[in-house]
Formats: sequence, C-alpha cells, structure tokens
Amino acid sequence: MSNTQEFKIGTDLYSIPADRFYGRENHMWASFDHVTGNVTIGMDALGLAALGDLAYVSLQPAGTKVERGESLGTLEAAKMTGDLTSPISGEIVERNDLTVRNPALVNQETYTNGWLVVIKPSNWENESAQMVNVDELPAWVDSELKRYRQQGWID
Amino acid sequence: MKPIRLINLGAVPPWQTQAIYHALAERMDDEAQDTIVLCRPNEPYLCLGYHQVFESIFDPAECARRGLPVYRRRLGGGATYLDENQIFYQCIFHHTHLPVMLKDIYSSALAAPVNTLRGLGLSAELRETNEIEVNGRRIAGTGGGRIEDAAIVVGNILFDFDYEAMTAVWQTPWPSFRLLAQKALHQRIITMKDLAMNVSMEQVTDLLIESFATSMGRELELGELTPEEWQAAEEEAKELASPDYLALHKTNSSPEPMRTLKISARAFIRYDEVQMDGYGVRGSFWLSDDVIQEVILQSTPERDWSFEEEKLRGILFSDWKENIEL
Repeated sequence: MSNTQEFKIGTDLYSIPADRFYGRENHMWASFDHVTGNVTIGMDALGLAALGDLAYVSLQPAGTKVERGESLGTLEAAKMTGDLTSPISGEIVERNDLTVRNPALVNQETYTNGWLVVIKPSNWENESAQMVNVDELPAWVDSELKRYRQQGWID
Repeated sequence: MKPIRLINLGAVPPWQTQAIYHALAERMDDEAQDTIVLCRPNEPYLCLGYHQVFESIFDPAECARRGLPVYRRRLGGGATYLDENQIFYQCIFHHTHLPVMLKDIYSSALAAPVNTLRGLGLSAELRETNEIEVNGRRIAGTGGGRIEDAAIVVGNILFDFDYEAMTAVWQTPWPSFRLLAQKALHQRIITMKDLAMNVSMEQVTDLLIESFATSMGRELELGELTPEEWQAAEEEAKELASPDYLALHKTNSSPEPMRTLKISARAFIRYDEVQMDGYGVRGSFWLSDDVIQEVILQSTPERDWSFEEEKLRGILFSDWKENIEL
C-alpha cells in the first residue's frame, strides 16, 4: 500500500503517513523509535482538520507519568479548548517547547517538527496493538470521514 | 434523543454563571441530558480564558481596588468584564450530539443568538467562525471547550458595556497601548443600547429560548438543577477562583504585560519596541489583518513622532521598523 493515506475535506487535502500508529478516537499519532525504545507523540491531520489553526498548546513537563487516555496537555483553536490525551502509558521524557511557543507548527509540520512529547512507554506492545496500524489505516480514515460527515456536516 | 433541558436562572451571583456549566460538563455521560443554561450575573466580575496568564492580562491591584472577583474558565478566548447588562447562553451537550468540525459546532450553537438578534430586526451575522456581529461590529463574546464527554459553547449578548471598567483592569505595557485599545473597543463593539433597542432582557430571553428550540431542531424542556448538580457547582466555583488555578500557565515570578490584545477578529492592539539612532522607540499599534490602522510612538529621549505615525498607517506591522527614517 501507499506509505501515505490522503483525504480531502472540502477542497483541502490532508495526509496520514502509514509509518506510525494512530489513536482510534483521540487522533494522536505515535511513532516508535527502535533505537531508544521511546515513542514520539503528535496530533494527526484528521484531528487538526476538525480544529483548524491552533492558538495555544500547553504540555505537561518531562518527568510526568501518564496513563493511556490521560491528558498530556491542552490546546486551543478558535477560542475552543480541549485536552491532548495520551494514546499510550509511560513517562514523558521530553516535550516540544517549540510547539508551545508556536502552536502553528503543529498545523504546518504535523508529522515532523510539530511533535508534542516523547514518552518512555510502559506498555507499548499491548497499547500499540489497540491503535490503528498500517493495515487498518485506509478503513479507519474512511470510517472517521464518514463519522465527520454524519455528525459534522462536512461537505 | 432526549429533549434538551433548559435552565433559565435569571440574575444570579457571578460564581453561578461560571461554575454551573463547568459542573454539568464534568458530569456529562451517555445518560445525561444536554442542557442550555440562560443567566446573567447580578454583580460585575472578570473572567480569564483558560490559556491566559493572569498577571499578563489583569492588574491585580486594580481588580482588588474595584472589588472585582476573577474566575478562570476552562474554555478558550480572552479575558472579559462581565456584568448584569449581559445575557449569557451556555450550551452543554454530549459531544456526539454536536458536529465534529469546530466551525460547525459554533454555527449550530450560535444560530440561536444570531436568529434572536435578527428577530429583533437587527442585521446580525456569524463571522470568522465564532463572532456575532451587528452592523459589522461585535455584539457578543463567545468561547467553547471540550470537558470530558461534554462539548460546551458559551456566549453573551451585550445590552450595555462598561468600557471604562474593562480597560482599567488591563495590564498594559505602556499607557498608549491602553489608549488605542479603548478606542478600538469603542469602534469594534456594539451594544443594544448603542442600537437604541427598546427591548427588555426578559423579551430577549424568551426569543433565545424559541430560537434554540428551532435551531437545534429538538424539544426544549424547562428544568432545574438537581441538589447534586448544585453541590458540584459550588465545588467548581472554589476551584475556578482558587489562587492555584488563577496562577495556571505562569512560567516566571514576574510575567510581562500582554503585548497583543484581541479586540475582535479584525482588530488587534500590539506593542513593540526598537532601538534606533540613540532613541528607544516604543510603539502601540492598532492592526487590522496585520495592517497598521493607527499607531502611537513614544521614545526616550522624547521626540515628536507624528510624521512617522502618519507614514506607518497602511503598512504591514512586520515592516514598521524598516519604515521609520530619522
């Protein structure tokens, strides 16, 4: 399969790379580093398409322990706030202060410099198995777009 | 789907106007009823957006001198001065009962206040995702957030606005910043009083109720808060006004005053400074789409900057330093 899943909302084209895992509901991506054993976390294009341009990002500091589903920090777009929930459990070992200072980076460089935190995972094998993997990606993107249309009135 | 519960509180103490919707959001689950709260504060107070730094926005001494309590909401947007001349509408829905796309969440929740204003014969429009304007000027503050399983949209309708109180409590970097902000606020905001609307708060409340029923396409059921919800709201109020919560996002002991202030979607006040040929130049700028509409320059040592001020009008803010020649 292609190493990037592309989709359109309106006239805007978005992409979802197939080289990482995705949270089924929270639209966070997780990329495992085979050298360090750590996982880089960011927000995916489907989640960002629903929000638009981010105005604020706040992130928990390094050393914070999080469980899957707990908050890694918060975001704000168009005067609306929300939690950034962790797709995995572990300890935050690094946070990207560049995205705190310049939240637009998350929109502009979603899968590279727009990462949010690096987590030392405590249960990667089990938790990554519950995330969307490369084989499931096309069907998951389609079902999420369908949900957006049903619930979200996108054209 | 269950009918929407409508809670019409009327004039209530400030804490209730913030704490109740937070408490309802915290308790939202698959079984909970979507709720719309209508209310207004019976005394003035200040409310800080979730991501704002208190000391960068408000002058604590001036807030205390005026006896204005401050709450931080878990929703976005900027700091606001709120009082009995504003009607609040607060939609607390299960997130699956509102659209996914943020702009659609706003358009579905804010259709009712827009239609209410139109019902009064005003040319109201929803612009820039979440700004309700009449005659091209903002007549409402809005904000929102996702708390647990709840999606929340809140807003108000301005009957009158205390410009003096709002601008007096701002922590501004320089007096000229406050001056421009006051001017922009007067130009960009509009109230029912400005529009000479002879309409009571009760009439507008009734129209809002009708409009919500129509725009949401669901039955509205008049309801009350349960004792458990009241108790949860009292706990929320303590949290929203607690020193620890107000100090959120403070990264050092003496935060700098704000350098950017949003007045409306198309009006920002910004502060900047530059050292130039022996002058320390400080500028306060009124921007629209990043273009300078008005500027006040001051310097140490003092100098007459009126020629440069005139020259900077219409220039992109990012280019202002290059456009000053001594």
